[in-house]
Amino acid sequence: MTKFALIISSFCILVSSHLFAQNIANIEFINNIADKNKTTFENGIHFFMLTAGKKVQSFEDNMKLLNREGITSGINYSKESPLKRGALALMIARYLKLGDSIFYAIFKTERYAYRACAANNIMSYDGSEWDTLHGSELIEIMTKVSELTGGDE
Amino acid sequence: MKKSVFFIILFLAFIFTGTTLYAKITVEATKGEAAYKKGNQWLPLTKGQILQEGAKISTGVKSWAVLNINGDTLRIQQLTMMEIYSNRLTSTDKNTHVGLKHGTLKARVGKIGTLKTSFKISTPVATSSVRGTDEVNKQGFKFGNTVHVDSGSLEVEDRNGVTHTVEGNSTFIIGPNDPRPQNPLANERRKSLVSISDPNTTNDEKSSQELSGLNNFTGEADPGNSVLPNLPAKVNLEVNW
Repeated sequence: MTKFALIISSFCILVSSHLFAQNIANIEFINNIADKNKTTFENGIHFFMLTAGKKVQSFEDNMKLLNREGITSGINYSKESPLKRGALALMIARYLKLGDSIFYAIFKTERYAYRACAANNIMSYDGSEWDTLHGSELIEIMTKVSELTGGDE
Repeated sequence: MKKSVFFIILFLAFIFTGTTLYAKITVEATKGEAAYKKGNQWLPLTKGQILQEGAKISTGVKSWAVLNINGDTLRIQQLTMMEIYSNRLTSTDKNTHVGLKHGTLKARVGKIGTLKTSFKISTPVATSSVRGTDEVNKQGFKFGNTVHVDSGSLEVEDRNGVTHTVEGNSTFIIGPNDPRPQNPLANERRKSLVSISDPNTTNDEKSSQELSGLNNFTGEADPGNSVLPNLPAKVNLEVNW
């Protein structure tokens, strides 16, 4: 009986310490991002996984998963390349199924995805789809995406 | 004699510990990933935990934390990074100052009798001061600082030292690059400058301008931008000093 209780409690400690480490890693990731002048495509994918409530894995595995869901299909950037506003906008427009922009509904390009995101107050009109994203801007955008999917409750 | 000294010391100790211990910040609740920074390490926030001045708090996606600061409530929404700059409570004053780097804070600040209350939230672009009401303060890189008050009023001071009053069910927004630096005499000029008009205008032009309000330029003239595009030109300037 004592042995059984010991095994159960050790298991609980192991699981909780793993979850704790994972939570802190996410907090560290977000705070590291906040101070970056330029974010990478990998940063964007990582943050997207967090916001979508998916388990963050390696860049390649994250891409595979998001590709399967049609979020990153046709988006082929290397993980070190700077994160462009247009690429993130296209992922967001697909994830949130933003269909209220006529041009985006027709063309489905990064340019019109960015316009659709701006129209939905997710991104600022100030800039273009070619702009690289500052870390704090990435946080601001993903906060808005999370709010739109009920993350603020 | 010894006994009375002992009681005086005891009384003083009671007063000092009373005032310092009462000013406290307690974690009331958390959800998801909420952490505070100790040294260079992020550690999880737990319910009932006491925080000190200087504590940095960060929340993750779909996460929040609620703090009780001397009886006032501060809800830290998801993806927020904030710091408690100072927190003081004496028998006459209650002063709390927090910094918001990014994210959203919801503050509910009550008034206790005659206690002078000051609850400030500073962002990179403005500082808001709230008491006796609720405030929602949102700070973002591109959208700037948004301050909302449901009822009552609060004051927002921008980084140029200009104070704006936000009243009732209203929202005040300062963009990341707003406002432009203001002339320190702007308030004086607003009160004093009554009108600018061209001396060569005909009576017909004058009456037309009066109708459309074009003859009067009152308010904040930006010294960097000419209000009359064809300067230099002769103008009649009417000033009440």
